[in-house]
Amino acid sequence: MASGWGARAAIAIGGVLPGAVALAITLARHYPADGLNRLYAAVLLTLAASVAVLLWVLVAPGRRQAAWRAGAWLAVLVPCAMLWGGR
Amino acid sequence: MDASSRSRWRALHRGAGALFGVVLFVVLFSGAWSLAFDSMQGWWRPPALAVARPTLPLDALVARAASLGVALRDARIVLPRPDDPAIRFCDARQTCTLALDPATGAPLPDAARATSIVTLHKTLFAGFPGRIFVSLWGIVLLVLIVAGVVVHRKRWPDAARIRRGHGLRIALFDLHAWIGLWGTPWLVLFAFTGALSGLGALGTVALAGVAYPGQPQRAFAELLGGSLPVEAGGPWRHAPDLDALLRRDAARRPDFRPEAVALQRWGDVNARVEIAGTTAGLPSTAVFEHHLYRAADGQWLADATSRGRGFWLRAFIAVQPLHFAQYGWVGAAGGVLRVLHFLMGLAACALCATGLHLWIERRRAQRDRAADLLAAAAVGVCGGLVLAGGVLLFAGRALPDGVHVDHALALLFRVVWGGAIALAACVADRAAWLRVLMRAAGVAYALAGATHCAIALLGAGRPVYWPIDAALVAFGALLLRAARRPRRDAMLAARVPAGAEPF
Repeated sequence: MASGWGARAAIAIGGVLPGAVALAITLARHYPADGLNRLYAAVLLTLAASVAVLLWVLVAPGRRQAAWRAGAWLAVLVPCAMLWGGR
Repeated sequence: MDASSRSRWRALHRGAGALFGVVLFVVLFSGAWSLAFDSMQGWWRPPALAVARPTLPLDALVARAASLGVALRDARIVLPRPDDPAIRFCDARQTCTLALDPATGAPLPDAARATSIVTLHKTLFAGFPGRIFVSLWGIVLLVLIVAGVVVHRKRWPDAARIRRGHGLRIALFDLHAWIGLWGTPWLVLFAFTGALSGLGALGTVALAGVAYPGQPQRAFAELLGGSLPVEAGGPWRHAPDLDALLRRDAARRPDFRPEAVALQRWGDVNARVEIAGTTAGLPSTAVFEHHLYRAADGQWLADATSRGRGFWLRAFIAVQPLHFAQYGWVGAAGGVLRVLHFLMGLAACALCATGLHLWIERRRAQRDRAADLLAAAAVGVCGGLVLAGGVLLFAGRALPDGVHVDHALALLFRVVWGGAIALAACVADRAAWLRVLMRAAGVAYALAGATHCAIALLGAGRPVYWPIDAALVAFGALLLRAARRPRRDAMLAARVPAGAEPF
């Protein structure tokens, strides 16, 4: 069981981590507040969202579903960062 | 929630707990230790220091530090507080190099013994990368808490009782659920603020350039409220009166509690003094709350505070006092909250230990080899750490001061912990080995408390910091009680079929 959860954790981290980076960059650039508030809104909201998505991926009914959920989070956020996260 | 979904949450709770429980115990135990260590600075000092005496003026102590070779040009002076009556002189990087008795100006031995476990919690001895790694365990703890609450949420009406007489396994299961459910607010606090302690710093460094394109250093300057660099103006004619400055600041801001005084370009006519501390009702730290004065004439220049700043920034600033239980801003209830914080930290360790025990016993009944591996790791790492901490406290308090002794203590900690891990991997009866470790740890903690009490009676003529001694003896007694061999009827009851078990 523990080894099964190890593989599932790897899928979840592989999807959630790049998505978290993308979300943080997008929020740090575009959250409607001054510089420091934008920065820490990005940090705090990204942490909360990442934990939520991590749980969503980890309780998926099977590895394929877990990979799909991790990928969905990525598919939404990476384009956001690419389109709006730049300078 | 359907049965399938519930079983997935349960599997997540069990699987993640088994995978990460041992390291999580290390992070939580070292965190509780760090909290206690911060309140035990005075416990390590000579007992006479804790007896109330008139103190020398701050200017006299500063002059004394200068005569002992402390470079005051950009120094930070940590003022005496109830937990540590010594006055400390630190450099600009906040490394403290000298502590003085505020009543006599006599130098004091270093009170930084037993810092090994503090460093373990902060960085795993691996600097900034280690800090980030430790903070990731906050996320692991959050996942376990949410999964645990989802699995056990229907137990709320029964969460106030721990069934006795139904065997060890049932009692430990109830204890696990009891701590998990009643301690949820603190566990979430530990996890979220712990994760942000490292990831927040990483996020600040990584995102400063995104939030401030082309000028990332602005983020740090605005965050810390730093003043412009002081320009050289030549040597001053006479030293400023720091005590008068502190009195003037107290009159100007009566709700402010000074904790440290930073000297900027001390000795120059343009020198400045920064008084750092906490403000009543404001969850912040001395890093973000400070008042700046011109040293020459005591002219107020600026205040830096988190009050009035944006929501997200204030939330981030509140992370440190909440994680480290720095409740000075709460007022009289701060001490009680700190004790509660510490007790919940120990309870979180018990949560990990009981969870690991339940998983191991369940898998052992199914003849799973992973149970033996996890048992070896849990007994050696967790039991060994508790023992090594107790030995460090007892030896550190009983042995004389000296640099060589400090090095020997650090080595002793590693040898005891490493030895416990190695033996746990070799012995066949790990339950018996765990009982040995707990008995030895119980004796060590109790002896540490008794030794300090004896030293205080000899040195000061009366017990000082006796609540810490009492807590150590009580913790030792608790470990000795927990190390007793379970009754035979409890052992038999623990072997109920897996299907009949509630976990």
